[in-house]
Amino acid sequence: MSLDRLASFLADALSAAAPLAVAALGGLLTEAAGSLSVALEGSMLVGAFAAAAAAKASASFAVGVAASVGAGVSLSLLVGLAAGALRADVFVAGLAANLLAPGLISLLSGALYGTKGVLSSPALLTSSHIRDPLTRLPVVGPAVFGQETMVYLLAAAAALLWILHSRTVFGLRLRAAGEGNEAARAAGLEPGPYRLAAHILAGAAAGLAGAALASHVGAFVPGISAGRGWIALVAVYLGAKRPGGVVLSCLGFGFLIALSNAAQGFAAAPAELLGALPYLATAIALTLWKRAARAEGRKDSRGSAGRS
Amino acid sequence: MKHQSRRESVAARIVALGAALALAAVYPLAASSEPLGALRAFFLGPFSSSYAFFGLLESAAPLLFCALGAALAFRAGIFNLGGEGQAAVGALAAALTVQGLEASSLPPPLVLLAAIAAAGAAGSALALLSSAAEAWSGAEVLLTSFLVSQAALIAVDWAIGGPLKAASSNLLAMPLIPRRLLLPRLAPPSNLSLAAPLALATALFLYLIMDRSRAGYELRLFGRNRLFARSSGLSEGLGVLSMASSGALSGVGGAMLVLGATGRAVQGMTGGVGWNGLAVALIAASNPLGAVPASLLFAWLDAGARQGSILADLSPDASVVMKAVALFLITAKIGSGWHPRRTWQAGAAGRGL
Repeated sequence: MSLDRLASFLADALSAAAPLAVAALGGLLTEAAGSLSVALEGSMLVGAFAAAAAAKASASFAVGVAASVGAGVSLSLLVGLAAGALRADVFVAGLAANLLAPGLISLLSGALYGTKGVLSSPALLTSSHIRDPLTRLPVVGPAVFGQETMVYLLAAAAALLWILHSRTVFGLRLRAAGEGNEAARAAGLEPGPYRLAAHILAGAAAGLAGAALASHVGAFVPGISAGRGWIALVAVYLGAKRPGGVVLSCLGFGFLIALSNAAQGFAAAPAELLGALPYLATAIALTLWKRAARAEGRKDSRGSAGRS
Repeated sequence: MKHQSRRESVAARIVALGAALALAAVYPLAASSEPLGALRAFFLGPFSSSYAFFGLLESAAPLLFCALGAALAFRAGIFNLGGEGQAAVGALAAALTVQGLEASSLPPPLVLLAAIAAAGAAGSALALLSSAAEAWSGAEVLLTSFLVSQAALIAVDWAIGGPLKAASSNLLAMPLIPRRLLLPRLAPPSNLSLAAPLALATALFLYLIMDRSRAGYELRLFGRNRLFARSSGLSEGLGVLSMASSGALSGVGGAMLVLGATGRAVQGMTGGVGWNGLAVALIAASNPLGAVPASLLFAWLDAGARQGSILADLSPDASVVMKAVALFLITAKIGSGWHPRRTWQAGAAGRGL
């Protein structure tokens, strides 16, 4: 593989990993608070739609991004409130949100634009920094410093979520809330508000990740999230519920997605079929990782090892 | 006590569904330029003719099969999130079997049986991948079943739109199955086929197994607490068996799509039947009999939205939103003491909420 192709492969992997990492870190916050949200997929989807719709109406990238965060938060808030105030099952509420998102979008899209198809929104596109001096560095230059602006925004959001989780008092309390109601109350902490806050942050993160998906192609496409929200959820597990591990898992997925993109260039492999690769590889990775964790008797696998 | 709480739970579900329907009525009223006509088209359209009504019954059949599959796994404390992919491989297996046996001299009922069996086996095999992964490494079925199903959906769509595509058609679909090899139509010209009574009979059968037999009792015990179940001598095989059956039911659901109304395998034909089946199972609290009215309700909303889009200016997607709202309202009423929740916490979330 030539250096140029290696560089563009790495660039592709990083840009695919970035939205996953943001959504997964959002999911990690809900997991840490003891109320894991499965609504990441739905929040990503409404985020992508809101970004495209708002950017189309305002011709502004910033408005699009703000709308994506707002939409992601709204959907996630629904789940958080159902799980909190209404004592609903957080998993089922998340499933309902994931079912709701595509229906709501095609309803709105039909009513507002008379189409249920692609919603093109060029204002969402961000430029690549291909002319910056740093991109002259071999391989790393174009891959790390030549990304679209959106990717750096995602990196900043990921860093923020990581710090929030591991380095702030809020994060500490969030994790205390995840130790269970009794434990949290014994420590003088009412867990409910922290769980709700976690759902809000997860919605914002997933919404932003959705905006990134739309930004990458300058449009909302039905089904654009394509299971990425679920992959982000898997990353929470694969990453042993620690931010570093979660980000690492997402980089692995980004690598797989880039691999299946790159493989589509070869004529021999049917392009459509290669889309299945990231899912299959993720399932295999999860299985192998669990096996290794069980063999080492690491404490992270305790729950499932005890179950089976 | 037990009966009291069950009756309360049924009442709470009916109230929640009533609220969902009331909310559903807001949409035609708000969105249409002719609200009353739209409302009538939406709610009564599916009952306006025997053609429409039988079509509703037929479309409930694949959904009911998938719901029964989800419910069976729930009872064993297993989250099978792969219903969609299991239905898709089932649909493909059924279509391929019929295609393979079309030229043979086998009588049509045998071909149909073979197709349904192949669909069940395919769905089952896909589901068992997750059971195997769990047994080998402890990987969560919840996650692997979704991932494997997603990969399978992509592969099935590729196969139907690619190597298996009917050359003579512009559709991304396999060749039409000859009329004589489809499930018999019960009320032509409507779509109603043998699929609907088959689904109903399966629901009754599963009710007897799951709620009225020793095996069902053991299954529930197993689902509530695996450690306890193991110490009382129940084997892990029960979980594998229920996952296999769950996948088989979803696979047969897919076969009903092909062998019933559609008459061929079309790309993207499952169209959410697995996910909706999961929602139906949750609404019915994993009760096989409860799944019957719940799947009819979903089919009604779908048919209503379709009628509303034909006879009035409504969107056919409205039903997706209404179904999600129904699930939201149901789950809010469930509260605690309901076993899938505990499974999710203990198994997947790892610690209590």
